[in-house]
Amino acid sequence: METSTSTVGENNSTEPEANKGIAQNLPQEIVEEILSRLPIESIMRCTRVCKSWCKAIKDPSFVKLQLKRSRDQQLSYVLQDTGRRRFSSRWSQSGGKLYFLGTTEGEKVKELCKIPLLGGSSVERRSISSCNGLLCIAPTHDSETPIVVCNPITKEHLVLPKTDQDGHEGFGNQVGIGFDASTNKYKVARMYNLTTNDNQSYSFFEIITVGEEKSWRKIGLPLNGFKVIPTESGGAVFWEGALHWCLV
Amino acid sequence: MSITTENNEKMITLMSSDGEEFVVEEAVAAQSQTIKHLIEDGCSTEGSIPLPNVTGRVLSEVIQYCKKHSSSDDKEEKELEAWDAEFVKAADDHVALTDLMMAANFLDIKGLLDLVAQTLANMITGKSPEEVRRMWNIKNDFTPEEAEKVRKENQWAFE
Repeated sequence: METSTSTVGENNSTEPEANKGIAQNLPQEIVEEILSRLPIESIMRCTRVCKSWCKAIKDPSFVKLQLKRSRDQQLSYVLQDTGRRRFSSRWSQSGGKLYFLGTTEGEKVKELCKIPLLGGSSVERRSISSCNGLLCIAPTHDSETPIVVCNPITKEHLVLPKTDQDGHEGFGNQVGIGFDASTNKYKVARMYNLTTNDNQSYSFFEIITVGEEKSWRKIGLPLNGFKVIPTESGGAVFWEGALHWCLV
Repeated sequence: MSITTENNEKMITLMSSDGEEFVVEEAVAAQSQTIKHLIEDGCSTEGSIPLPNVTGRVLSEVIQYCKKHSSSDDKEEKELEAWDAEFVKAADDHVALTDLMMAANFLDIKGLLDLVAQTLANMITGKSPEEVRRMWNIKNDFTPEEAEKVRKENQWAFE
């Protein structure tokens, strides 16, 4: 993080004449064309250049353009738990941080950021799902710690509302985050298993539109007696427009 | 003005904002989607095509690019890449590149737009907001409170 940016209200009257006015007139589409080709860390730094750049970067059309370009680059990312040096979503006394690592060409892996996890080390297991670079992180057994959707690169995050089922779950939250192209919204689905009096365990689903709905909606799925396996790697997989769960 | 050369290549005349005229082969000019559409609409049959947003200096660079790219085929991809690299290097600085990019955008020449935008992006990468402002003479219009708010937005709130 650089420190030379606090020159708010600087005096521009001494700027060289030759440079005058080129960029105040830079059309937004030109700014977007350039910024969408930057690495994300640089894009986020550019939100501090001026109000119009900040607005351009936050614009949904820019997000879409940037996402398209980053898909073309085919970057991949891995998560690493800080406590145990292995790639997994299970960690015991890890202090509640995940490393977000970017892999570029060849063998190089670089640390992009540390993701602090709500609930810290009191949460023993978590379920993680990802879509378009967003992560959804949920504790599997702890009803006090909320489910969070975060963007590890912009460091933005959103805490999802608690659900009615909190506190009396049979076995584990499993989450899945997906993108609904028909509404341009992200949705999080959550599965939990409940055990009935006759010792039968059933899977139930709830869904919420991220950033829009205030409460979870129950959805019925024709599982025909199957139930979702709470997997070690922890969540549903979003692929080709749908969430995929593992059933037994 | 529409004239034909010995090779039976149709020529058209482009006029820059400062009145400079350039006579180029139609196939070269048609690298620009904007000009291509103007030709299709019959705008090139009489006199020259005026390009009010592009100066003669920039237009000559654009034509240089279009000439190279209309005469090369896919087999020469490596050579073309090297040529592109030299081309943006010769454009010298970000001010000239910005002019070039504005022209590529107006004339709708995708290859040139991509090339120049990526070159400018590479120049910005790693620069501080203040350095970026200085590059384009951008005024920092954030109040100290707003600047702090934007900075904070990129930190984990629960860290």
